[in-house]
Amino acid sequence: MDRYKCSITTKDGSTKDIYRGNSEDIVMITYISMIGMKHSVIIKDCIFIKKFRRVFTKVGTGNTKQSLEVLHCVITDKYRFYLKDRTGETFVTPKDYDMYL
Amino acid sequence: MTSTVEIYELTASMAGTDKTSGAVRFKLADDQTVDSNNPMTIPKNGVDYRRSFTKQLRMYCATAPSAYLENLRMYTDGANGFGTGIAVNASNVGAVFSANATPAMSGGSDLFTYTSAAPLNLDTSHTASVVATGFFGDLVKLQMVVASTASSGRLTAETVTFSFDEV
Repeated sequence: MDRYKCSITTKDGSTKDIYRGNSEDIVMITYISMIGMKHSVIIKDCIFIKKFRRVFTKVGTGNTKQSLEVLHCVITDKYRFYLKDRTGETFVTPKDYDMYL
Repeated sequence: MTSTVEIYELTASMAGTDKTSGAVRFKLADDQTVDSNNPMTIPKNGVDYRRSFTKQLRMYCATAPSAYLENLRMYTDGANGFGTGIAVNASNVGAVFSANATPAMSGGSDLFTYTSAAPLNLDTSHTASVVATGFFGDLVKLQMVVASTASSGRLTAETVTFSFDEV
């Protein structure tokens, strides 16, 4: 289970977990940890393109066990925002940078 | 709903053994059991190589995503920790399963050339976004190759990472 959940704020001030409407209506994306810590990406002077969670599943070729890591990502036309679900670390990268753990 | 994805060691294109809480063992037998039976052996001849039965891995969606999955990738840390004389070939074989065997697999590349900076794409044949449960993505075929310069003994485990984006 992810440690962070996502909340999407739209122009009318409402917040939703999932938003299927016009992406131009999105003004802020907030990731909220289980202990209440927040990371907000304010969509201003840029265009929101999409958000996703990147999941990493590791398989051993010996006796190691599988582990799961999650990276949350918001893509805009000017930058990408990454958030490591396990540690809360954040990264802002060029708009086309693909981060893998 | 957040998806649940598992990694299977295949016995057919749509069947196999769940290895998401286990491991894959290269050996001289066509089974998915992680044990000490049928171990790889070291050839005496300097120009000879011993090849394991091939292993084929594929992702399986156990819980469907609320939207879709895409951008399927596989990679390693880029460092072959198995030691001198031991290599692993890897190949994207599309969506077609072929029986595991010991002859040299064709079209493979060194598994450890696939890194986070240059991962193996697993959506070249299976191009559709994943919206439902079931097997998805391209199959990865792996084969260990042992040369006469290898040392005997149990190897240190290596890790293969599968990744996908849930939109």
